[in-house]
Amino acid sequence: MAAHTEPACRDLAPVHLPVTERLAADSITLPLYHELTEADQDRVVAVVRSVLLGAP
Amino acid sequence: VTEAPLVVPLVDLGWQRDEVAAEVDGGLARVLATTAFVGGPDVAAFESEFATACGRGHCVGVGNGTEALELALRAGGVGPGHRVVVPATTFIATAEAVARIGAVPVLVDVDEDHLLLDPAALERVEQPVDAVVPVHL
Repeated sequence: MAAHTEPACRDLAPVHLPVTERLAADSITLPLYHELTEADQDRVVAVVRSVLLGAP
Repeated sequence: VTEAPLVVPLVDLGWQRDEVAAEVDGGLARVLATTAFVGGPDVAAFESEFATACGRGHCVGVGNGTEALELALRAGGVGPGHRVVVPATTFIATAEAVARIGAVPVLVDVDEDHLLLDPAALERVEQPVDAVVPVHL
């Protein structure tokens, strides 16, 4: 997420941050927390693989 | 048929609580029983143990990371109107702590390889800059 493009930062002086903006546009946030079970990790991996590779 | 929107909470500490509940319930009950809601013997014990674990002489317990950042900024002499550089990709608390003391967060771009504050971008920031919170992850 690029903070400077969010409503909460609209009162700040506008800035252009190319690396941050590209990262925000090109990234997705995967589930990540220390109680994440292996079964849930496997499901996340399977979904990402199926989306990126088109394989089940 | 319209599906109900999926609600993803910003923070859900429920699972973490469940994991440690048995261990911390006694401590929470003790705090309630002694009405030591601010400071008190448990906080003092934590401060002492955490300072030792970090190899430091002192520790000050606070409620959360935002407060810790806010106190660190204030201790460093940062105040209202000061401009404080923070990385553009950090957690919201970094900029929030700056705003909470009346200073102005200045978001600066990050390094392509490490996604941390880019020293070259930092050098191009308009002066004055009163403080920098670099954030390392």
